[in-house]
Amino acid sequence: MAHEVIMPALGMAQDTGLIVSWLKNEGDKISAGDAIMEVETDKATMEVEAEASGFLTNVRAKAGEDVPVGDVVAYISESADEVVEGGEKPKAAAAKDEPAPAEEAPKAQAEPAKPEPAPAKEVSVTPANTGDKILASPKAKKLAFEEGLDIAQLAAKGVPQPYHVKDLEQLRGAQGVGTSTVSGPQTFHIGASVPRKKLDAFKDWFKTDHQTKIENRSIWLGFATSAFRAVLEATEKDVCVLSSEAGGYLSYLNADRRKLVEIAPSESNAAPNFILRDLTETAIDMVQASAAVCPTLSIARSKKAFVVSLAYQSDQLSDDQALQFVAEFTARLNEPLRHLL
Amino acid sequence: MREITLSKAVNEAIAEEMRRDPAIFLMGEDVAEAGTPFKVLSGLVEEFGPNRILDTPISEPGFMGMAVGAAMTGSRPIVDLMFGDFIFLVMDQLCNQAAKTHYMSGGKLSVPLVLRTNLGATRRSAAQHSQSLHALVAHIPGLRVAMPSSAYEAKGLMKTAIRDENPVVIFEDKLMYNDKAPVPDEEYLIPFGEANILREGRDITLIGTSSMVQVCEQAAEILAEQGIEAEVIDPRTIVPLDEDTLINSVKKTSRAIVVDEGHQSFGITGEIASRLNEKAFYHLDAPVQRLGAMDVPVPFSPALEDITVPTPERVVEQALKAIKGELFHGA
Repeated sequence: MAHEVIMPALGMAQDTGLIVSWLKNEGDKISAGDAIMEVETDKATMEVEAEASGFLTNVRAKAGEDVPVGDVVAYISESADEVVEGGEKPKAAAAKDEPAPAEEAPKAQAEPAKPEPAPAKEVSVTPANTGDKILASPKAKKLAFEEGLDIAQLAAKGVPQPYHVKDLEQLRGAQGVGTSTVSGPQTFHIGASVPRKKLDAFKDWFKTDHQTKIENRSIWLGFATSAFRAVLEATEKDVCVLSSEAGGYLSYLNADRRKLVEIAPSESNAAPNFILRDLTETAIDMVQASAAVCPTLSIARSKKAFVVSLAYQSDQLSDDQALQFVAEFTARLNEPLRHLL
Repeated sequence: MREITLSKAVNEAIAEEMRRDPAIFLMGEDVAEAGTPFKVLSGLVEEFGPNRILDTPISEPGFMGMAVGAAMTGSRPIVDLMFGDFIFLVMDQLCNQAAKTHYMSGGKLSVPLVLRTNLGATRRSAAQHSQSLHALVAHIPGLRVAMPSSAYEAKGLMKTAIRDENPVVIFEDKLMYNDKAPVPDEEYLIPFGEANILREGRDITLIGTSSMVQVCEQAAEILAEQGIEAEVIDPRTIVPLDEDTLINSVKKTSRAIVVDEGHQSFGITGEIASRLNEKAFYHLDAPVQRLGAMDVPVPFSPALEDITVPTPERVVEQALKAIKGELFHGA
């Protein structure tokens, strides 16, 4: 699949960026992290790095051109001679190429989230004279994390490092208001809906057969953990899920290795593989969660179907993995016996 | 409240305790007739007689060993070591014997002795009579280390040291013997392991030991003129160390400088800075700074000697860098 190379926003009040020079030529093989072009703003000249590995293709803007922020200036494709058509929604285009997930009913579609504040996903920006690592005091980093501020924006603005608590002030005002800010990785969403019929039948059968009711949450936890393990091929590893419930988060370790009726929170401090949100008891039927910490799987309920939505970032799951995860999960909802096999 | 010198405060503490407990005796070089070169113990031999205030030959290892034995067998000796620099002579008696006897005897023996000695440069006494060697003994488990920063502290800490069942080394700054401070007439003790917050502030924590507490207070005055509120803390004892007070302060201020007159390398400043780093890391907005004595033998030249020790000006300079975020690359 082809990745867009976008003119980044390097300053707060920047509308366009001047391409000083291309550091790679069309057709060149490049690795993620390579500097591919030099961009000049009113303040500084910076090198823009490739986010993906591949071949530089479809270069649309020449050196010397002033390009509006957010515009696609080139693509990085998997092969040297690939021609990217249109290019308005490469994610959607790529998603169509994926093998159709599972059999019958579950229809999963991948769509790119609305291009959030910034087009930053495809580029990482560093001031020309510092390394990739952004230097900030431990307290500044902690506060930035807690307040959801992106310290990388200070670097993009050319504020000299290292950053201290006082520097965060510049971000507090700017974020949310900014129209052309450079933010962290973009969040993508995959949605799917599954008819409730078969799962309801499974629950009914279980109830009459075992005289016990299975909680929806246990089903989500068991099925999702199992689906995640299948996708990541993490047979030997622990899979930890943070479940949003009772106003907080509970940790469930390897929920797929327990009987559905015995699934219970664990004392685990393991880093979560994903967050699970059960919205079936609410009126919410559509959600586009953020995936700031880890992928987030939300399950809502419409009249006749369960609406599943996965939010993820490219550094958490690849598009393929995300699609497979949703496909595996919805396949289990659609045919609960799959889980037992 | 009356004001007395640090000398007088130590003298009072020892005299009061000797009146209270006949098991206490004191020995050292020139302690009886001369009352020590700093005249700290003047008058004690007149009150307590030559059997409880003993002049010894120039034989530190010998009388230190005697004191350890006396302490193990029921006495409560105070050993006077004329200069802190002589501590090298008593290392085996202090660190191998006194510090470990309680442990090695399975708790059957205790060594309730006090080694009182001194530290501090800028007295023009040259390299072998000017060192601040408290870090050497603070390193040895089994020894407690007190560092009074004023006459008031000296009296209260000395009385606690004498009553402690463990060997205690108490370092007085020899430049402070004539410094006066308010000291109440009534008896008081200062517990070990309880730091003293001398001045509250929200911008930076200045941690000083012994006479460096004054240096920190002077630095805080200068910083206050620039609108910076420094918190000044005296740990009082470095073993045991009141970590909680230091950590809580740094959590509030996000910055700290540790000031001590021992050599900077491998010293008290590094130890305290390290603990703050371990336990308050995510509250720090600047690296914790150390200010110790220069890593050189203390020069005899007054001009050179003066620049080897931390001064209020240097504390202020480092504090401003920390607050402005200019401590990058160890600047």
